[in-house]
Parts: sequence; structure tokens; C-alpha cells
Amino acid sequence: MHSMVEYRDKLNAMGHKGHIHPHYDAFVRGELQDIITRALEKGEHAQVKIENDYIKAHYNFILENEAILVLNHDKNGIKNYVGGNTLMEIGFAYVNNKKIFLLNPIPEMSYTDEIRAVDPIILNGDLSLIN
Amino acid sequence: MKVYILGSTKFVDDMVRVIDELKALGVDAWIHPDYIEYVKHPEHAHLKQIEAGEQWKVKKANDYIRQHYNGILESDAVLFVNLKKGEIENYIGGNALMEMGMAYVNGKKIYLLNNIPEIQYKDEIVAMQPICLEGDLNNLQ
Repeated sequence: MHSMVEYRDKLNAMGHKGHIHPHYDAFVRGELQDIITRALEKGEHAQVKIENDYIKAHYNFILENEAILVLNHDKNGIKNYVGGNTLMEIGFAYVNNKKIFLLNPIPEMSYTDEIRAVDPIILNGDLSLIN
Repeated sequence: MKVYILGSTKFVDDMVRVIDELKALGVDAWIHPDYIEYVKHPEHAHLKQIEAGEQWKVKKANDYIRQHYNGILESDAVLFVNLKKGEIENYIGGNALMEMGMAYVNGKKIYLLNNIPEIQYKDEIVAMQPICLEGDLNNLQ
């Protein structure tokens, strides 16, 4: 979450129009912490997604923008991790002809083939490659 | 109701079988025609390429992600044939997960032939609230 806010701000400083779900800003400000607790500590991740309709919310944000930037940092022992939800969002972007940027190289995961097939632009950490 | 059949290519024989069974039940079921070709021609070049670890090239060259997306848009519902793959019961792969998302955000009904798998992205599948048929196509409404 902090990383998403950080990179949104970096993009805006470069003259892009960076956008993230407003809940991420709220989480970083220390608000809406019950959502974080329920999702990450109480095993209610799916329920939280349903209640906040996050899948459709992110889909609509993708439609409103020209490109997506996937922040695929290392996670769970996997280099350049892309989670299941993010994989879906990559698919949404692809079929709606949005540019797909990956901050880091494509991870070695069960769905590496799907990510490769959408031809993402790999930034290798260099945001100046976004144009 | 027009139902588009999806699933891992490994399950292609069962996916095509399901079409026939659903049609016998009066359901307007369909599948991407290339899957029918795979069943008719087990030596199909795509299958050879997939076996050789080049599935992404097949997907990209044929733009299957977008083709399936269009198939989903043309249908009222999607049915995922999710069987055992490797050690995972009721397997749903990454491609199927993307397709499920596409169905979900476009307001299509989502059916799973079997239950939701115990898999890394189980929460995402649960959040899309698919209807599990418990292996019985008669449960499809």
C-alpha cells in the first residue's frame, strides 16, 4: 500500500496522472484499518472484496485510464510477485487495450505464460521508460 | 441461456464432453472451436507447442485471451470445467482466473463444475461468488 502511494506520487511528479484506489490512500493515512485487519489478520479477504466490490472498482479504474503499472515487488519468497487479483487486472487491461507496465521482470509463477502472452512493458524499476 | 465452456487445456476432452451433455439437457452450450479441433486431432500443432512449454506463444499468436473475452461477452454465463490437475483438486489455472474476472465484471453468471480449489488465489475466486455445480450439470439453472 505504501508502495502504491509512493509510486503514484512519483508518477505525478513526472507529469503523469497517477491514480490509485482511494482506499489505499486512506489505509496509509491510518484510516479504514478494520478492512486491513479483517483482510490480512482475520482471514476475511474474500468477504472484504465482496463488501467493497473491489474487483469491479479496480476494473472501472482501469477503464478510465490509459495504462496500468503493476508494482511487482518480491513477496512470499517469490521474486517480482504478481498476485491473483493483479493477474485478473492485467487481463482487464489487456482486453481493453490499455498499456501494461511491470515495474520489475515477469515472475516465475504458475501463470507466467499468461503474463508473457499480454506482452507487458518491463520497466526494470525505471519509471522514465513510461511514455 | 447461452453458456460458454472454459477450463485448462488439459481438460479439453471433458470440456467438449460437457458441451454434449449440456446440449442433451437443453442448454445452449458452446466452446471455442479450436478445443473441438484439439479433441479431433490429438497431434494438433498447438498441443505440441504447449507440450514443449511454449503455451504463451500459442496464446499470443492466436490472441486467445481476447478471443475468450469475446466469447464471454457473447454469452450469458460461463462454466469452468475444473478437475484434478497434478496434486490440486478442482484446479483453476491463471488463464481461467482472468476469464472468471472478465465474466464477473461484465455481469455474467459464473458456474464451476466442481468446488472452489485450495489454491493461492482462492480468495479471488470466492469473492466472485461462483455457483458450484457439485459435479452435476443438472444443477445448472
